Amino acid sequence: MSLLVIAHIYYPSDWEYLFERLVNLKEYSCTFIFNVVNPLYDKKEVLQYIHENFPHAILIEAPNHGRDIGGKLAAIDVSLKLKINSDFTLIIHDKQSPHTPTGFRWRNELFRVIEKKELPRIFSKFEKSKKTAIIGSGKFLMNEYDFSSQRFDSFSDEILRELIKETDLRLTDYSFIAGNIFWIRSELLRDFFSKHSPLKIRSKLEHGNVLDFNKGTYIHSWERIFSWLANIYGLKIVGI
Amino acid sequence: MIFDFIFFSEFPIDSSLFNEKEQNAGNDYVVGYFINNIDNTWSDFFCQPSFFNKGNGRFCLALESSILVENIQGKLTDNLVEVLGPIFFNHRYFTLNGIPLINVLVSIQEEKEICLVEPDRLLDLLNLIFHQLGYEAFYYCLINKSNMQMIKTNIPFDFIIYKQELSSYNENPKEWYLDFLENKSTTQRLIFFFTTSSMPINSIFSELRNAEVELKKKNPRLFAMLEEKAIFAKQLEHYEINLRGLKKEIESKEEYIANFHMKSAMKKMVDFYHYEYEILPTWYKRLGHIIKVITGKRTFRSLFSDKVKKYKN
Repeated sequence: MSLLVIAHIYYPSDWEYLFERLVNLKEYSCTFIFNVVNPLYDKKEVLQYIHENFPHAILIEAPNHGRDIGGKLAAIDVSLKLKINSDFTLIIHDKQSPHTPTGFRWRNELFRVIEKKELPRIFSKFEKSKKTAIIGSGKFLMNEYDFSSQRFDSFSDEILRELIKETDLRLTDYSFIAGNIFWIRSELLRDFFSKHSPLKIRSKLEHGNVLDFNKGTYIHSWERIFSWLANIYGLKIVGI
Repeated sequence: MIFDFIFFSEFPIDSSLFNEKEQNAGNDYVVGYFINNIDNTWSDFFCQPSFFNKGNGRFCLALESSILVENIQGKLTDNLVEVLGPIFFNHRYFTLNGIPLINVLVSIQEEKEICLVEPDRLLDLLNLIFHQLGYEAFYYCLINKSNMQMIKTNIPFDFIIYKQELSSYNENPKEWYLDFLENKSTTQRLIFFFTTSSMPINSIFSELRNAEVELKKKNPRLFAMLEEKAIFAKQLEHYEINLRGLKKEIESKEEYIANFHMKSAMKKMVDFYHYEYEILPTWYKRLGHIIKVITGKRTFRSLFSDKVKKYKN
């Protein structure tokens, strides 16, 4: 079993919380791709930490465009162009959510997918059921779609419907993991993003730290589509 | 070294040769790849894991303008975005003040072509590429390939372009550099060093390093001043990057705060609380607190006193 980690690092502080947990994955055959956002601060400390603890990691410094979704798309693009093979991919970022007082609880819950004791359980779930495409925190498994009105209970409703049409997505389940941190079968990412250029998607995302509190965004729409990859390929999301 | 050096030499057909040539571990110079064609050799070389995690040696590109002209005429911007994206994202790509630098080489024959495709159109294309990749800014340098004169740039400080074959010092870069350090190095921070010499870059770099050692012995005061100037320039760059980071952080925080001042967002939160909790009957809410105690989420004593710890974590 080989693993790929796509990790987006944005915040200049508290990044240790993520890395201390990612170290757990070094026990496995794992390729790490870190996107350390450019140009935020002098990143000497975090880069030094990566060089010392993940000497074989692939390091990129894509600009802060499209928040974590943009950074993850840049890293996915690199993984495809470098032809990195893996069975399962972890999509993760140094989540802090400073706009909400419950941000750290949200992060800690989502980060359960990289806790040492959870990892064997997660991989065994993937191996036991070929239908399992994505595994993430069950607490943040959400669905905003209202089948009766065929609309999303979200400011991004219009953008979501536009992207579904444009990308020709055939969906029967609109569940997604809020926070965009989960394990996914790598073949889904490879197949989907070789048909839909990650850099092209990224170029349409909003710049800077936009929120979806009062208007829809392409960033938050693609956050949902990442999880929908399971349903697109007739598979399912499993919560832990 | 006192100056940042970018060593440019031709990108060979066999990329593995360049790999050997580029052994710059431990040497703090920038390798410039002069690219006149985007083909499989290009992707084989730049898109391999070993190129991404090869220490800290920095590199940058000098594209021949014909590559851009072809793309302007063929409207193939997306193609350039696809090939250049992972290269600019590579953490080893050379930046000034945290902003990537791209160089374009224009030959004399092509200058006619550049008249047809104005430098501004080349810059428009570069703007489009960097914008699509999410960059707010980039530095460029358009250089006449034949005489190595700078045509246009937005690099915010002085630099010089040295072409070994055009220099009177030709095969003796050490002498040129010593002369430069002693007589001409007042404001520059960066040196573009073009060479087609068979001499490995490491050897040229050692020669240049020797020139600095010689200057240190010969004129220690001048050397100390130049060294200090270089340290200040690095510190300034460091502060500029941090300043930009801090400005971005303030912008972000202002955006977050603005969201809380938005009536619709506040109303959504208050409505959520009202409909999800407030409208429940009191007996149900009280029962909920007892359930919290039973499930270990609240202390038993807190049901009777406000002075004890309420929640366990």
